[in-house]
Amino acid sequence: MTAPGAFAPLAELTPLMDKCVHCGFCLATCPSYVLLGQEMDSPRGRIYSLRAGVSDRLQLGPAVVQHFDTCLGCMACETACPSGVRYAPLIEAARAAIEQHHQRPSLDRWFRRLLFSVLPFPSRLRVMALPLAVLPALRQWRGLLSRLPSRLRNLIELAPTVTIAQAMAETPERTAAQGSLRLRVGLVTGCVQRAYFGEVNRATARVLSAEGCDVIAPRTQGCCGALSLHAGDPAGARQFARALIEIFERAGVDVVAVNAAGCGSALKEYGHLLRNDEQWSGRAAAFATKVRDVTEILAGLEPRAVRRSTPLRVAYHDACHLAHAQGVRAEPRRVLQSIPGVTIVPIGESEICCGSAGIFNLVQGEMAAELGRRKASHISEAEPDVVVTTNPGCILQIQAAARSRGDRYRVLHIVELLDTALDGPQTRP
Amino acid sequence: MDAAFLRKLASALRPDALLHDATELLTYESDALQHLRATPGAVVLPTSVEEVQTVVRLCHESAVPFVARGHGTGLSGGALPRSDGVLIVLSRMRKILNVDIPNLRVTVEPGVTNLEITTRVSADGCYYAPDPSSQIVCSIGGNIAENSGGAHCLKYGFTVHHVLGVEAVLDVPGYDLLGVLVGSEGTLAVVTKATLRLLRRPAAVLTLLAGFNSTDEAGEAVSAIIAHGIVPAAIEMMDRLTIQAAEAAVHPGFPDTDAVLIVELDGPQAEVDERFATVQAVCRETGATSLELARDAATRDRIWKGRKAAFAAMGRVSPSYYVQDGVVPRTRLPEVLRRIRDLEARSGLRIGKLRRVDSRPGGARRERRRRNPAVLHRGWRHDHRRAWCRCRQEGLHAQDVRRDRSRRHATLAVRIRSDRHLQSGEGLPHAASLRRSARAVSAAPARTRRTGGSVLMTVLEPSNPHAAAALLAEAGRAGTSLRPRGSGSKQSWGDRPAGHERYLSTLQLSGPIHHYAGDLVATIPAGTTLATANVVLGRERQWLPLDPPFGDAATIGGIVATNDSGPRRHLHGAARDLIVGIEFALADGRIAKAGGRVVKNVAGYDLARLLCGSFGSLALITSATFKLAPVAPFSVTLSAEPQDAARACALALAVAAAPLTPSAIEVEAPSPRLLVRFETTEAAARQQAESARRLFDQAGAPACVHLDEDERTLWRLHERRVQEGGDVLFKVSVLPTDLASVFAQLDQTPASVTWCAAGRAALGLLLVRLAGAPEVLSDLVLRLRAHVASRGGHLVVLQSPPPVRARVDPWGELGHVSLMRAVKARFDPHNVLSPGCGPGGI
Repeated sequence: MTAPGAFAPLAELTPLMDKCVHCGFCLATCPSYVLLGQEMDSPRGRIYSLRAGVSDRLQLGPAVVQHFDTCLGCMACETACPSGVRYAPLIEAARAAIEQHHQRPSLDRWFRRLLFSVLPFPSRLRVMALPLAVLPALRQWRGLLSRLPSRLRNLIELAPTVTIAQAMAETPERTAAQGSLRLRVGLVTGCVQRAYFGEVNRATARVLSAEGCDVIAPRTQGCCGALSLHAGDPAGARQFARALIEIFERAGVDVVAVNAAGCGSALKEYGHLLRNDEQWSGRAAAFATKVRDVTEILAGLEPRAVRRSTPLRVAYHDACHLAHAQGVRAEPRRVLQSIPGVTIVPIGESEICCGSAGIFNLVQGEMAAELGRRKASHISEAEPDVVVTTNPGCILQIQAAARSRGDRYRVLHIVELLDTALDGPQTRP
Repeated sequence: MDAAFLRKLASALRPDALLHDATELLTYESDALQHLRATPGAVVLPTSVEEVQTVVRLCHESAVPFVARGHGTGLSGGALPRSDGVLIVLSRMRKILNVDIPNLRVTVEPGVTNLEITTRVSADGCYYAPDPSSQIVCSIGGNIAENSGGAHCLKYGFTVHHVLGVEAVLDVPGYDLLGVLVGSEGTLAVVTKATLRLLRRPAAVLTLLAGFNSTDEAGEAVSAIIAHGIVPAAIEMMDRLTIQAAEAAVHPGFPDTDAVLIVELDGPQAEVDERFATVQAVCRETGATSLELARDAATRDRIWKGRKAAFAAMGRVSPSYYVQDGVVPRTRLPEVLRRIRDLEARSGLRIGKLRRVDSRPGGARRERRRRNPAVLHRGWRHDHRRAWCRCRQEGLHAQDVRRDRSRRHATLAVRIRSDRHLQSGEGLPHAASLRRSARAVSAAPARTRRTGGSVLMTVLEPSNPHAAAALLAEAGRAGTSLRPRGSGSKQSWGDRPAGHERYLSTLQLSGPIHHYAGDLVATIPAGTTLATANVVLGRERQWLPLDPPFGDAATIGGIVATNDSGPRRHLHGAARDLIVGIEFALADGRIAKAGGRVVKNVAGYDLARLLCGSFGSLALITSATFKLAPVAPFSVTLSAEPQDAARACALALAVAAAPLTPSAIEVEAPSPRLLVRFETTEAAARQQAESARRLFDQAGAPACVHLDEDERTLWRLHERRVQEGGDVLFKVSVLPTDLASVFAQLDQTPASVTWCAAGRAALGLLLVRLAGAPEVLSDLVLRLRAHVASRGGHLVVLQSPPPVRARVDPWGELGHVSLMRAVKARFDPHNVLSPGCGPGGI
């Protein structure tokens, strides 16, 4: 099962690895190092292994793979790194090499294949909504749960609670701006977001329109490719990317809004993803420059719509793919501050991941659950009424962790909170 | 790695605690000093003290070397593994075991990061003072092994000043083994638990960022600031290359100049304001091109983030680099910088310089090039050369110059090591240096004098260190013993076996005092009295901030040997906290030196600390070098008489917990009295006295204010209270919060006994004087010792009449006597020096 020279193609990334001076500043914020306490499970250790792999001092095998699998891809290390090492391209390339050269145990392979054949496709996810409707009842049945295989149990613990009607609802393809037009915005509706968090997409459209944006959400769009990319399937990711670029080029928008941090970070890297594709590299780079997180757009527009006073203690959870991968930290807080009555309460250890990390909480359940517990206990200390964040994965993970602690705060997407403060539907708190 | 040994390890440990897969071991090849690497034979990741013990025991049995590692952020290769050894990685032992805010201490496991401690206690207004650049990730275990400093070490000292115990919690009498352990780079022990001192956050902090056109001008500014009698909390200098790297990394907004100086002042608001005006004026005079003031935490954080990222950000400037971490006397800095510039020009290497101008790294220099062995070697060679020609440089990290650094006390490094399993290869002296320092010392003629009455007492008075050493050697050959003696002010302290009356006096060892005012240090011969020394130092408005009893008569050698101190230990610490270097005569006739003129001794075991409090049982101290303090321009003392000692103690703790900087907090009994002294600028002293007075009033103990002659008389009487009269004198050391319980015990003394006590209320140190019938006194001392021991404290008897001494061991249970005996045997194998007089009766 060992593959000599598997990391050899990474030689082109040597300049990126050479920037690492081995100072160890990344260890403190790396969730896998914090939990496991060993060098191999740290960014510094992984880069060291890659370097050794490139110079053929290290053979790819299960012992190596397991330590790359523990990486959540949260990119907290990039924030911490004083030397400006870019870890994302390194871990993506390493994962691609692993998937190409390393054969996982059959059960692992089967489970991953299942995830990738369902998650990126909203239509298939909707079919899954049928069994999901009975979930709340199932979760009560602890005896049965404890007897299920761990992977299945993780799925059940984490899965969102949705009604079939919610899952089937779509975001309007066009939402006209209220008042004078300020921006034409294309909305990426995502896959999991679209199927199970449709309300977030609709709230996004309403909020943007209230602030004077035309919102175009093409029905034909599919997955952005982030899941595939982060799991070592760049070819699949490229396919998704090309399709998405084409759709939004046709839509003719000024900016492309994303309300899922994980998708946003992948979209902003399309230029890098398609850099070797002659036909597409230019188009991809142009597209990437238009991509904004929805909070970036909102923070950039002087508030126009009147916000109702919403007296709540709000804890803002920094989604890793927004704070670390995209460097967006101030904007969401500014959006929250624009709502009168909101008190932002800080969460301890905010730079450490909640454990969601794409499909990480499905494939590395134990570690993810431990990180979830850690996050939830820090949130509890802040005693918030509401926790808001910007990524569906984080919402599910924090909800699951809060459920198991018995904490009662609600976990919302930031635009949902803003939506209720504007003249949106009065169904939310 | 031996397969049988690995099997033994595997069977003794949990499966996930042992790594031996080659691909996993690979990542442990080096710490942050990347160019020295070796793949460890095995890696062990213990989670408990027991596991560490198991591994160490197995290694010891099989003679396998082992190296300890924390989070691997050291820049000196302290965690460099051995391919035939075990790497014990303590990264999983990261529990904060106990936080004790009233007594200002915290107990942690070694893998806890430096910053975690401050984060944990900041809500209580406290912090952990040492703050190395890598504080977000470096471990306490590593800090202890390397005696880490950080930006604020000028004012607040190094790790060694903040570690209270490694298993023991209190001010432990006896040899300062802890002082030797700190900074021993893991060559003596693996730290499994540490108790650290916390500090209260100062009332005001001000940070100044000054830009200069050259490092020379910035250096001048530093000297001028010190000359004004100001010891800032931190002064740091960065040159253009490092400014650029920091800018690229964290955008701290440093000015675009050739040098920046970061000056931080902290303390009471009035003092900070007053001193800040001076610092600002000094910077302007010396040619500062820009001055930025950070009053708020956000700006200050930004500046420090820039400074602390500077090293790690070097990866942006060049992927290959070589780090040098050296210490030079402040006043020699311009000279050193000029030499570095010459070398830079000659070698074609780019050199970035970061300077902690105060004390420690005189220059953390980086030389960087592509990863190309040939070029790197060029770097190595010239570093080596520089190390050769600059004997002033006290210590240089890195393997190839390490030989040089241990030369000064190379033989001693070997002497106190029992075995070579620990961190093998580190700190080992070079054979050549062993030979060099082992040369014979020419015996100088010694003057002898006979004095005495009914008991014949021989006092040898050598006139120079060499003569003293020769006398020691001669005594060793003749099988006799000698007891070092200064002015004899504390001759009755400690144990004194009968019939032992040959003294070796240091009174003639009283040559000139070398006062390096610009560096705030002085080297003082052992025979000089403290009073004489302070007269000389006072000419530059500096002083050695020690105020032990008998200050007029006590000699420097005696104060160091007994680690004695007075009320102002509260602010300045004891002799062990101030000593930076020492020269001593060994029992075999050699003269040895340890430490130097710079505040941080990065070059091996801290023997100066080991000799502090050794009661002349290890070596004859011939001279010592100390960190000095500027003489405070103003002093004021408050006194109050609370109803009882318990209330006095509570009030003392309240004053200590307030954001004030008293130089002494003393409590007296049986007629309870509390004295609090403030020494700083006049405005600040008065302001603080006023705040303290309010605390006194709240406690219902109105304060009297003492100034000038009145104040001096007050303190003279306070000192005499305990030192004069009475039969038994002993010292108690407990947690500050337990002090009241000691007074409660004293209150129960029988009416036939008179007693008197005074001590450092916020440090938990008490001197007690008793008078009465010997049998009653013996019982009383033993009962008190039992009480103090039950609280984890110690009681040491300094003076007692023979009938009491017959029943009460002066030292009591010290717990680590066997280790101390081993140290004694290495220093003084023939038991020449003060036999029976050392700690624990050694």
